[in-house]
Amino acid sequence: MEEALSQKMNEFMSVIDQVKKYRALLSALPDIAIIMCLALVGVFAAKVWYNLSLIFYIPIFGISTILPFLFVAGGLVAAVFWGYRKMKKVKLGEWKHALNDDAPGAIKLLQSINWEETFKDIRYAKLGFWLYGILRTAIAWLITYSIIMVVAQYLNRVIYLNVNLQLVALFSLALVLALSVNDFKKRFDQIGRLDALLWELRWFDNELRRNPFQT
Amino acid sequence: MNSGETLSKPDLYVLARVIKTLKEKNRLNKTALATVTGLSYDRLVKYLNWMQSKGFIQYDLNDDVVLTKLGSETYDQLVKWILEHIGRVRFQKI
Repeated sequence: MEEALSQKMNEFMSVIDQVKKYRALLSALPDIAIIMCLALVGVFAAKVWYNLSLIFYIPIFGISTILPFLFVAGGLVAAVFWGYRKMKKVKLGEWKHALNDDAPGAIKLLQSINWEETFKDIRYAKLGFWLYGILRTAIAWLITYSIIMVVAQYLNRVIYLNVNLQLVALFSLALVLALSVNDFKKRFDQIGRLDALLWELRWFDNELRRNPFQT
Repeated sequence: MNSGETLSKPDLYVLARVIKTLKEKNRLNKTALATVTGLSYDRLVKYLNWMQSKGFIQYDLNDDVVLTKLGSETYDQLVKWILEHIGRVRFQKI
């Protein structure tokens, strides 16, 4: 019975750890927003530079065409790296040694959980899920767009096929969204599970407070 | 500190540790029990007084602490209670 309790507690604490990770990702949101804003400023600056080069006849050797793309790609990579770094910083599994103590260890862990903080983390983790999904989609879009652009440029050289950039962007976005349907569905289910977990934990917290062994 | 004081609200974790130790070692003197459970002697005595008043432990002729059947059953009940409640919470992988 004590082993079963340790196993259940292990599962429970692992879920709490995962919640903490997504919560950390959400806390990186302001940094990610700043990184993306800087990338957009870079794109804007590249455009201004391109226009100035036309006015003042400055040779730019075609760099202006890939510069905005580099800024967007760099911004996305930096944003993902930053989010990943924040998630990696979360200390996980610190509770594991307590479970060596079997039932008393499980009791200690249950007593040490800050339930209100955990409920708050779960609420924020739900937003973290969406942020993670959006970032993933944005990166997939960028990669798809790059691949299609390379193919389009090749076609342009070989059969003089002129491809509209906006159309490529829209097509790649539609393609990524169509391929991400399952991921979105999974993400939606996960949020449902988090909601269920929140309610179950509220109930458990209530039961723990009025357990018959306290007095 | 007065060792004869009784506890108003015992810590569930400490109770579980004392009972688990007694279940494993069968009988122990207070000093050894305090060492094994990592409690100060005075604090342990408070807990033992409380547990004795509830009938969870008793002392043998050598003044060693012995877990009663009620104490053992209560501990099992506690573990069962937590397992039942924890088991009812659904922990699907996120």
